[in-house]
Amino acid sequence: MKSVKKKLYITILTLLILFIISLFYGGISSHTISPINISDINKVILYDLRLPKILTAILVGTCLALSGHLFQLLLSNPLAEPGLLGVSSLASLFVMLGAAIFNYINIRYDVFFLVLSSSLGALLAVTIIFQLAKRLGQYSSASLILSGISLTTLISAISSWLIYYSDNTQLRTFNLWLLGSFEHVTFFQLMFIGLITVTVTILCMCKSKELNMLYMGDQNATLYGLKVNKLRKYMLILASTLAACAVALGGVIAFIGLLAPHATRIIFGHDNRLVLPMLVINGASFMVFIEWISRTSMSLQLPLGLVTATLGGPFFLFILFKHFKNQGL
Amino acid sequence: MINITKVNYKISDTFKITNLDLNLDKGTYHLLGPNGAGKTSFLNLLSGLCSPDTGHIFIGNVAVNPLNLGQLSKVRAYLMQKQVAHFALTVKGMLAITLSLSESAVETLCENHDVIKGLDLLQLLNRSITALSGGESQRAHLARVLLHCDLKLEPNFCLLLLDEPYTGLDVSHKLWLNQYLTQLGKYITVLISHHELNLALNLAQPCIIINNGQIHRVLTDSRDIEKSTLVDVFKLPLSVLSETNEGILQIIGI
Repeated sequence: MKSVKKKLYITILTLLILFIISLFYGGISSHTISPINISDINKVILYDLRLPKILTAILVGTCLALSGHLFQLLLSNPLAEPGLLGVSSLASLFVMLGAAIFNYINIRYDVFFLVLSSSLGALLAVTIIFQLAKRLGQYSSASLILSGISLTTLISAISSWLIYYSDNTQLRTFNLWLLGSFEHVTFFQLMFIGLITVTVTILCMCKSKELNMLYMGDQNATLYGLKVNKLRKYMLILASTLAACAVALGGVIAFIGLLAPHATRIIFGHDNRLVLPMLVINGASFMVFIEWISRTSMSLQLPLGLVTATLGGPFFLFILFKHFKNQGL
Repeated sequence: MINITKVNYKISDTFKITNLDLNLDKGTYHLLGPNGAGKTSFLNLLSGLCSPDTGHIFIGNVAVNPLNLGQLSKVRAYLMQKQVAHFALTVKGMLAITLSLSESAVETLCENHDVIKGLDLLQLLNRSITALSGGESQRAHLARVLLHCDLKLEPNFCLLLLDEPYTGLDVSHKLWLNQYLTQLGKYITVLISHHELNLALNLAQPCIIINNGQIHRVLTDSRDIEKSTLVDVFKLPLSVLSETNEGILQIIGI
């Protein structure tokens, strides 16, 4: 128990340190601000430019880490992740289509509609994946991932057609959703989506004991008195909402949903009562770190999706080798 | 204690469980039958994993149906034939989750528990269930189920179902398991589905033989299994059946 407490302190401390570094330290190509004697211009940079982005990163990281873990648990598949399953891409496609429609009928694309279209996309993706996986082979590990891949391919085809037929300004917007960026996030959006995230996170944590049973497999969980299908449907809706929130804020950011849950489970074990709160912290830490890198490593801001994919690709291989070496799927 | 009335259950167009009518008292029962006879389906029905098309089942005074899963989990345990392990839980973590205890409480419980000693699990507690060998994994899951039906933890417990519990176990653990289950049979109903016919022929315990989805015979003493049953149901040639000096039937070559 002692060591768990120690790990917990270190985890929280990491987030705090990253938060401070990200806020003040400019790295190679950006402006470093000393925390003592902040000038007025620097105050603007800190509060209006950096802080919103860092807060967005915390929210997005939380959403992605939690939804990644939940998808892995609910689909009994350590490779599941909103990015890989196509949940994020369909959500972002819906956001883009929503933007196009609202633009056409000339209504302001409010944050409410943004989250709504994103959630609809995410839920539709989960439904499609389940229907495909059911037909492909009894929701098996391979069939779920394959349905995810086919869905992602389909959506990327549609996105590519959209890009092909779009002009310069539209192209910039599309890129934003497809590669991930926190540039456009307003304070009101942050508050609104933050409220949803907090609510959903609390709802998830209320179910941690039931979620633990899912580790034993569906049938065993049933034997221990769990209504598995009901819980799965409920939790999938929550997980999709979280993935949708992340997309609504920052577009498609892959691999955080894979990286954070695996790291957290390696450090803290599997008990969801501990894992879920730690995921919030670790997800936030990862995302703050990546946002900081994307902002400071090059003279131009890097797309977040580019950074996560660069770090996530090798990590995905690591997971593959750890879980599936000599096993087939 | 266990009451099964007129249960019918259609599994596929070609296979169904028909006319199950059975009352089981306390004791250690052996559920025998060839592959595909319906043993696992029978256990699934009894546990509540599957619902029968007609008829009803009671465990004590709890009706077996999908609405009662919570109550059922307090009166019966079921070790299924195959276990899934997608996540690298430790054995200790698995026990903590299934017993609804904290990991430190599991440690204290395991320090001095017959089941953990008998199955030599103390040194495996911190290993991950995905890294265990076949036999070790079987022992871990056996411990999970046997601790679940520990009467000190669940006083109303009355039914333990085991589907091929001997798979992968080495001889000494098999022996321990047999002795433990025989003892347990004095307090609750234990139903073991397995293929160790010689074992059943040696033990003076009740047995249920099923074939083609029907109960072929219910015997109060497994030593009474007849030669004709072994030949007709289990498709054994007469030449491999012999009798010991005490007059107990044995199968040679298995």
